[in-house]
Amino acid sequence: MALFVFSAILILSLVIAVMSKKGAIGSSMDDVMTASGSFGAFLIFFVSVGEIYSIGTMIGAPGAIFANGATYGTWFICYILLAYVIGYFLNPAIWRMGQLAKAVSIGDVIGWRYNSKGMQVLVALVGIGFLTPWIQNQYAGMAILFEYLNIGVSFVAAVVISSVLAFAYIAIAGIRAPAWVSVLKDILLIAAIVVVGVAAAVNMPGGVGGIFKTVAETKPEMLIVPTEPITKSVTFVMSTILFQMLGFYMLPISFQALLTSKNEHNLRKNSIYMPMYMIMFPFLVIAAYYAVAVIPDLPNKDFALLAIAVDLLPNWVIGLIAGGGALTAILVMAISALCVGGLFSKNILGVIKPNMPQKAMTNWTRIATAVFLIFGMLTALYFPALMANVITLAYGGLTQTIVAVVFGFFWKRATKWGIGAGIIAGVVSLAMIKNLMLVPWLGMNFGFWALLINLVVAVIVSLLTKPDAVAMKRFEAFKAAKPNQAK
Amino acid sequence: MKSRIPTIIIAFVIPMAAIILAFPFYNRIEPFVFGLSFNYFWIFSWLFLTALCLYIGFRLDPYNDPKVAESSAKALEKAKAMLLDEGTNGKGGNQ
Repeated sequence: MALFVFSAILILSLVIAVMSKKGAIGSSMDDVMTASGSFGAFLIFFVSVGEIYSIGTMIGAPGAIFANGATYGTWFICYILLAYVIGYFLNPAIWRMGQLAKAVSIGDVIGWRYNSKGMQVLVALVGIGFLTPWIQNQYAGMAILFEYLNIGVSFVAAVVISSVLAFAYIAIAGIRAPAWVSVLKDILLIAAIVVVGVAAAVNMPGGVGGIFKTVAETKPEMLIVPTEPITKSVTFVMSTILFQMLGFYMLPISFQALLTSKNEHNLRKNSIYMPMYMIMFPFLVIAAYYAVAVIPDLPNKDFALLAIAVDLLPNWVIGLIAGGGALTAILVMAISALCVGGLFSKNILGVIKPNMPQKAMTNWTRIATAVFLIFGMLTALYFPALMANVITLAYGGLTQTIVAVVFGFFWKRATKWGIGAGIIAGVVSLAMIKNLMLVPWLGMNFGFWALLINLVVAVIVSLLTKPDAVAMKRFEAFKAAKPNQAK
Repeated sequence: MKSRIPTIIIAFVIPMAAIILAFPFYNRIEPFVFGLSFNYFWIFSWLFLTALCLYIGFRLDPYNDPKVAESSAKALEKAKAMLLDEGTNGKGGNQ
């Protein structure tokens, strides 16, 4: 039964992908990457939540709350929530600059604003550096899903099926397919988490109150952010939230999702709905604390949510969770691999070979998409632990591009040398601080200090170098496009 | 155009203050509300309240006035035209 439900979900997703096809194969780069900016509010919502909530939301987040308590729960929920607040103001401006730059990626926007191919390549490299472990992470989540749920599909088979499906979506209809499939994926993801959360509350004497009372009595440290040790302390959590909310829309996948919008009004509207999607987090937290209270001896923290499901729910629901989880992973892989494909073919190959025809570039995007999926698949099968920790570092590095974007909007005088030196200084100092294992200074997140170094370097080097006339003119054009000229 | 400051206060300053600045205040287990420890009750409430703040901010935001939206679409076209005499279509273009 579980296997039947699981297969039905994957087949349905493929049907949706085929139906979403509209002017796909051989179409232009704009179409493959951002559907030529044609999405209304509905699809913008699903393409945004589609790539944000990965299999990590189902496996990693409850596992981390189960192991680390409120420190993780608070940080994770708050940074995403506040990212939407930032997004309300930031996203329309990014979109506007994307329009002027005719951009399909974060590399395009920054490269255009500073009139620099070097910046385009730099940003693309930082982006690929993040997305590669991100794709691999989806496979790692699937390994846990299939290892634990045991629905009759081996992990190897699941990995191969997922990779083929992820590539099929992209090959069929570029960004359109994952956008539409995301509707199914997000309904299933929410349903799976809500069902497990409700099952946990119903099966606990005293319901939700019983769960939290029990944890408060037996393990109160799980429910509060401690003041010691310093790496888990209040200031550390607060500065981490601040740092990460800035990085949220710098993820190449989030950035690309913005560019699919038809206009900036839809992006503002979308920000209102995004926190509502987070309705699943209370259920996730309830499930995680149920695991803390009732099944504290799990062999692996990442089994938390799945263990509850297997203990309390009928077989066909397990199939639903397996299908929802797998589809979530497939979808995030598909969008990420497409994004890597675009960054590689447009911002790296396109710079090396500037006269590449449109069709060749679209094909290169597909090739790069496939190569990255296969690479992720192989690392997941043969070196599963290899890149687990690369993600935090890469996210930290990626967040450094926020300086480039914000200066792009507000500071005419910023030069490519300044911005580039800033990003490099930020990434290098982040890697140094992390590897030297220093104690966070003043209890603040490492990335926060790296961002500050980035900012200072960007300002100083910009002031020391000659401003570029084209870049300044583009700044003027961006200013002219702002809505406040209305009478 | 009307001022954007009310939008900034309601949709930005209030959620930031409630989640970041108020952190030491809500980082506590008791009192339990609806069975949740206080910190989780606070954070979950702000999932809804943030959406509400964004909604109110959206309604007050002069940028969402249809007239402003129309004129800003024109401003965007004008800005695109400004860039045409650059000769190249921009490095990010898709020639």
